[in-house]
Amino acid sequence: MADAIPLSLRALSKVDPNKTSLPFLISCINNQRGSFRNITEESLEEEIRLEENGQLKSLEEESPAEDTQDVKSRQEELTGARQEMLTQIQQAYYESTGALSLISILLAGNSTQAGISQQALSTIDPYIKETLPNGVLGVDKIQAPQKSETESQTVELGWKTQSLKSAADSLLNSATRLEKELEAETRYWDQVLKIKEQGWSVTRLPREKHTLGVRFGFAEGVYINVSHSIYLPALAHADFRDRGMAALRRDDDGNISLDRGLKFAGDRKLRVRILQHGTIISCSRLSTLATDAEEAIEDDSIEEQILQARNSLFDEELYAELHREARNLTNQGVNCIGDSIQLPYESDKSIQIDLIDIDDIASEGPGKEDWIPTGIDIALHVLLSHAHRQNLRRRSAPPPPLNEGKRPRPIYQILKPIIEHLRHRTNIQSCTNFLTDLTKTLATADLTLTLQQDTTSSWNIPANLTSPQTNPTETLLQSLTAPPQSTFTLSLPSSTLTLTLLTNLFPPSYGTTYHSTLSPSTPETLTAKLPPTTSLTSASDLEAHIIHILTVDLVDHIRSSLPGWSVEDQHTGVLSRTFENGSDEGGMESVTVRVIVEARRLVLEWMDHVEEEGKKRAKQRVVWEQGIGDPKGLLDIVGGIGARGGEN
Amino acid sequence: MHELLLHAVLPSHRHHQVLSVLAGIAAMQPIPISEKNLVFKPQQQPAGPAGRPNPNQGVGAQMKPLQGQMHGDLFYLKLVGETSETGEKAGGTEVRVKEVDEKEEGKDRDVDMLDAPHGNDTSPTTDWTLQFRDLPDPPGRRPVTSRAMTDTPITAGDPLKFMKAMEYTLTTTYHLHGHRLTHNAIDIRLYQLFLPDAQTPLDPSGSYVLQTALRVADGQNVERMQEGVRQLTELKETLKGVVELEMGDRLALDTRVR
Repeated sequence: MADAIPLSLRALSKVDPNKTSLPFLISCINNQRGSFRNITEESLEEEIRLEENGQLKSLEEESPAEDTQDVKSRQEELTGARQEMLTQIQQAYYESTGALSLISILLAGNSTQAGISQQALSTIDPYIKETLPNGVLGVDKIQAPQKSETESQTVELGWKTQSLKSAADSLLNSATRLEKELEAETRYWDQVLKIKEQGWSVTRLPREKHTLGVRFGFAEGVYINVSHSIYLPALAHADFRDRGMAALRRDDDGNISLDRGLKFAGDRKLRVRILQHGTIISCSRLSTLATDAEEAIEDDSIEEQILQARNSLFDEELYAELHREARNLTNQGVNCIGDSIQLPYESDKSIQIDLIDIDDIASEGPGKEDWIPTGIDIALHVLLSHAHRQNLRRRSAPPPPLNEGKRPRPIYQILKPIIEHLRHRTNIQSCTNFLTDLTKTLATADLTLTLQQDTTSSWNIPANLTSPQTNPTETLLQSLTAPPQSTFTLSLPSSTLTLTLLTNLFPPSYGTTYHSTLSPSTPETLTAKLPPTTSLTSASDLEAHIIHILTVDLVDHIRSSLPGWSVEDQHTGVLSRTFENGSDEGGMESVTVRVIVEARRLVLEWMDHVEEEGKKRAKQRVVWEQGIGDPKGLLDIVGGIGARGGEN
Repeated sequence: MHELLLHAVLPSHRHHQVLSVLAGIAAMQPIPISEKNLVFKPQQQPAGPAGRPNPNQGVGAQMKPLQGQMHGDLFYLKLVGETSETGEKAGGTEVRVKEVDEKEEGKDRDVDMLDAPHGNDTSPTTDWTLQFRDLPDPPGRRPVTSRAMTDTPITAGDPLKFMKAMEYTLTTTYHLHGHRLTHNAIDIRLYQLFLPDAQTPLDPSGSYVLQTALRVADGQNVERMQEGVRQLTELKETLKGVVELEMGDRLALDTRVR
């Protein structure tokens, strides 16, 4: 085992660099071989060859040759040594002469003693004495610097102090830097914690593993859902993958900042405006509806930024979804013009929805009916949230088997309920106006019609909003997404007319359908012969229908209230009464009256005879309009006509 | 239809943790499930066209070459009733079944079990499904268990009478309680099995079964099958270190009548 380890316990031999230097080697060669002149190539080769044959032999063979050469070389050696000695002596002589001359010149020029000066002059080299004038060299005695022990100690101490000081300085610098860094880190983490405490999800960024990010995207929104890509076209997927996250970066002072990436081009906001003949009359103001919790957050704080980023993302998604839906609703008059969506509203107005920079919001002054666009704005947001909830429900359901076709992402129904409700509202308004006018007109003619209106019959507001059994949000939203329905009940003299308005943008109606149900008080009335239910699709048809029913009903009312009158044509409102002619011939005479119902007036026409002309008759008419007209009622006048005829 | 499966067994103390992990992966809250499983055995060999309908019928003709040697085998059928999605209601039903069991103790067990779902479980809240599962394909072809299957929802009528008319006898009843999640096209179930009159799980250690299943409409469509296998193995990779999903034992999943 020990043999296996080639371990030397001796110190490693140290190669002296001086021993390998060229001057040392040359001196070695000189010692060993004598002068270089004796060394030839042949002799060296011979020596090597001999060495290879064996050292002993070479030594034996070499000794006689060396003996013969020895005498010769010895001679040369001696000659050389002598020569060298002479050269060196000469050198020494020159140098000592030079030194002596130097001292002598100094002494000759500066000595105050004449004897010394003379002596010095004599010892100067004659050549120099001739060349240099006397006294060219001067000499002076100066104080040589004295290095005491204390001084060197002081220097040493100084150096030591200086290095210690610089070391301390650098340590202190690092400490300050670390302290600053610590402060910055503490501030950063405090803010991160604050964000976390507010309920935001703080995670690592998928692309930068060492950066923290905050997730503010919506779990069911298209912009965030990477894992649920079955609903996403590939392009949108790639474009919006990271939109729901932003990096939380720290600046030098430890302040946190939100890094929204390169694609971020400012926060956006949805704006809803109402245009009348191309001029803006009102604009949505959602920003004024901030909750208390939102107001408590300072401007420009990180929380505000995150909140704004979330809102902006939501609005952008909403806008994209609205565009998707708007393309399918062109049959309802919805247009996508440039960057805005236009919906028809009432007869001469339109609603414009666009996405604007958040800074442009306050640029316009308040309009007169800002609550309508604001309401629409809120409803749009609520409906997108509803669509998100439905997305969750859809993907939580047991999955269908894998099949050829991919499941397309459904188009959300956000604009549809809005359009339905707006249209419904307009239709209710026109229907109410018509029926109120009618009621007022007939009231002038002393006929009482009662109108009851229920515009919230389709509203399904849960009684207990905190009940755990039903989801109150879902129930409430069903009222918004279900086709709106309203009911009017009009009590006519002899029957009751119920009108149901249902607005649905889907086939087969593509709009509002009016269902009218007629329920006569007794089966003998004339209205009982009319079809009990009718469905109509336009407001003008409905008005004509109501007027028709009202005419028939009034005819029936006159017939039943005033004996003697018989019905000629109930559909056109013609009644007649036959009585005995006042003449002696005993003939029969009849009088005919016609009731004409219009939206804003009631007309009674009859042919009356003119006294002066005898048998000739002239057309008479009484008109009731709202509040003006004959003070007598319809029945009184018809009764009067009958009585007058009887007198004749 | 084909079904691709991976299974794992989970000790009861890890149930909550794994359920949380799964909820995170699926990005949804787990939905509680409670199922009643009635296993039926065919009474006799089908005799002619009037006999028991061939269970392979609904699966398609492609089954035949796959299991030529099994031709003529009889398979168990399972009637599954999803009682309710809330645990509270499911518990209530369970108690009622138990009461019925006790009352009619003297009677034949077969009749007893038939009565139980007839009296209580076929209430409107129970959705019955007739399930057929084939013997899984031989291993080696795919890294997951794959088998032919059909699920027939029973929309109206008495399922037990129907089974009786088909000459099937009820052999076993067990209950399944647990949670369900959906991840893409994968149906994840984490459940325990109970006998009808037992308060403790069938497995005395109280361990849970994790089943990840993916259905493919056409088992002959190689592309779709590969896509299904890919999704399942992806989930398996994601869950690595949490739960090791593995192929089930083929013979343990055998549904043939011996």
